[in-house]
Amino acid sequence: MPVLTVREALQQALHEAMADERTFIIGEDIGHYGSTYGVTAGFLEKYGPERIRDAPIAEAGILGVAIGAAMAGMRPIAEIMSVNFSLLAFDMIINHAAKIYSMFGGKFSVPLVMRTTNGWTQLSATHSQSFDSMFAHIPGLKVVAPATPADMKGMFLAAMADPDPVIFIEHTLMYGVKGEVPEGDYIVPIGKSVLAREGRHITVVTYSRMVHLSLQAADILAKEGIEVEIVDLRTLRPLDMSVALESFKKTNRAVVVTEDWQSYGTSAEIATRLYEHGFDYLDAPIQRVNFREVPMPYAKNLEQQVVVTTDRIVAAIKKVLNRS
Amino acid sequence: MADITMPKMGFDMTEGTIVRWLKKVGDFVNKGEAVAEIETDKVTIEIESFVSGTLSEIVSPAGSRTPVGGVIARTSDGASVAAPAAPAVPAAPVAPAAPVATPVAPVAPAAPMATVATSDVKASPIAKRMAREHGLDLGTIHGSGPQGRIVRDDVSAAIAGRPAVAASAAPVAPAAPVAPVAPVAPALPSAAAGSTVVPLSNMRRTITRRLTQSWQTAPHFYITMDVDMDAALTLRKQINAPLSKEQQISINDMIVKACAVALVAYPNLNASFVEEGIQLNSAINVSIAVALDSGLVAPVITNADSRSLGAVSRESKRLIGLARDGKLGAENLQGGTFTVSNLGMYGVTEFDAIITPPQCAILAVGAVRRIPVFKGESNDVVAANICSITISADHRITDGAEGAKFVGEIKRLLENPLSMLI
Repeated sequence: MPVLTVREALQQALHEAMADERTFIIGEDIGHYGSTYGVTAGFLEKYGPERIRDAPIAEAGILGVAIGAAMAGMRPIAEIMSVNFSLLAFDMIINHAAKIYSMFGGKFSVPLVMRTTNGWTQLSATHSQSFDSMFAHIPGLKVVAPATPADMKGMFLAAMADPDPVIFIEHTLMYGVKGEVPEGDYIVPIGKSVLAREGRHITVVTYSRMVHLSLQAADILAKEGIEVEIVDLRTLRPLDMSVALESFKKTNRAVVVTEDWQSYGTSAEIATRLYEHGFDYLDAPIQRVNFREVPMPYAKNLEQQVVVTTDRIVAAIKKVLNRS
Repeated sequence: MADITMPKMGFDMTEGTIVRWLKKVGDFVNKGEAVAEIETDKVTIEIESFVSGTLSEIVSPAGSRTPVGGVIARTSDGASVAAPAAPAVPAAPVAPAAPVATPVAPVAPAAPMATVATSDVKASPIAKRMAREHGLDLGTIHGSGPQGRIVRDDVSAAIAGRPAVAASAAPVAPAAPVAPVAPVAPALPSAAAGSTVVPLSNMRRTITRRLTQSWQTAPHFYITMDVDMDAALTLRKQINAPLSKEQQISINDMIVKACAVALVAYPNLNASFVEEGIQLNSAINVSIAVALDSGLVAPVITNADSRSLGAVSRESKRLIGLARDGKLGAENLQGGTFTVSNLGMYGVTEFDAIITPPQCAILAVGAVRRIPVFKGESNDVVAANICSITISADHRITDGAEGAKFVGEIKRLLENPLSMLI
């Protein structure tokens, strides 16, 4: 199986999606510039300006066009360069994309995919955020955040095949992550979590880039004889807790790692589900590892204090296991 | 200041076990609110406060036993509360009940360590669940977690190492003050050879206490008779023909009905031995022994003599359903005056049962066997459906001749089953 980067896997997925004539891509700098992270490089030349549409800096417009086109039977891909800019399109996403199917009695569905990225690295407070929980809070949306190149491709194609609006969350620090990717058209279903690593002492529940940091933490702890099991949720809505709960019932201890603020964040929902459905299996309070609760500083040394690091994951696991 | 006392939930209840406290000291308790779970003979019930007030003291911690009427907790700013009166059932004070109003010192659990109420112990949910499932008292387990919290591995270790603990230190479970049972501990072989001690569940403890009491105080005698069930089976077939599967009358239903009818004519067999003499019980309430995975219960078909066979059958099915679902209440288990125990479904030919106190007798029913018998004046050998029934009776109340006549009456009714339908 070929080894690809996340960027290459997404490019394959987008090409597969473009094979459907109903599909077009709209977003800022996606055509002539080839997109900020290079994912749509060469697409304008191959598919032409009708289907690769450079948009003005008008996020509500990008989503509005995509929603209308989807209702009219097309399969649009709306790219929002950074999730921070999606705030300008929240009314379109929440009040239109997520609601139309139910408010029009099922007569229209909105089969659009919104690609966007989380991420940071000295982008400062307004460009380093994650709104995973804000999207995942909304009934009517599907929210996916894959971690591996294979899942990026397979879940993107699942999102394209889905009749509902799907928020597809990528990560600026993951485009270079490599992994084996099946060739051709294949699908990884939305709403199915998976084990990323087996272990018997503690369960780490996480998704997206934090899967990779958790795997690093597990490698470190393995040297001390601690076997960490890692659950990659892959989808935030609908949230599949079956794998995490099965693991938790075996290990009785859990750490939830998410790259957003702790209060009211995705880790709150995940930990609550573990408490609700696994209470009798709980052996220690669940720990969470997240951004520190401040607007992201620009200074590199301060930024490092806010973001999730492997060291912080290791420390949280040891705390739950009562090991120093 | 008001006392909450151990209520009398059944006519033969002398003491109750606090399973757990639902309120803790300092909680405000409303009148009618459940404060604790107690376990009586084979049933766990929530007891309600009969007063509003703040729970100021828990006198009987979880796991301890308290005589009926004994103070189990105190509340402030409320009026004194006596235990609710016993439900109206045939009064048969086998053991003298403690005076309700007198504050009786609670029966302290034998092991001092066991006085730590489970609810006060810091333990993880899975540790609590494992301890509960294995009948372990968390108060006896050392916690290795943060701030001494008992965690999963501590309970696992306690489960694995229990024989050693039981042999050297205090018993893990509070020792039951079963009256005259020979002390078990010294007779136990050394715990070395991988043997384990399974602590008694409350149901097991109840069975132990009651049947030991019966065996040691009631001189049993036994009478066995063979009953020709051909007529009963034929009648049952006729009755069941138009009925759905759920409505079918069982052989056991017919035997229960036959016993109830026979007991009308033999009041001694429906009696209880009490200090003052022989108490002839006014109602005929037939207990049916129901085997469960966890032990044995005997729910009561009240006034079985005045119920039709169909009504006996329906009530029996209802009670067995409740028993299997673990939903029997005290009202389903108290007031029995006679018991039927049927092991026919296991292919048992005949057996002897132990009398359930304070009853006088129990009927043990074997399987209906198809065997050759001599019949008629020509002594033809024919196939017959024979069922052996054995009465165990209390010799303090009745004697062999009366017992034999009573069993003969059951036999007559089953062999002429129409006579018990009129």
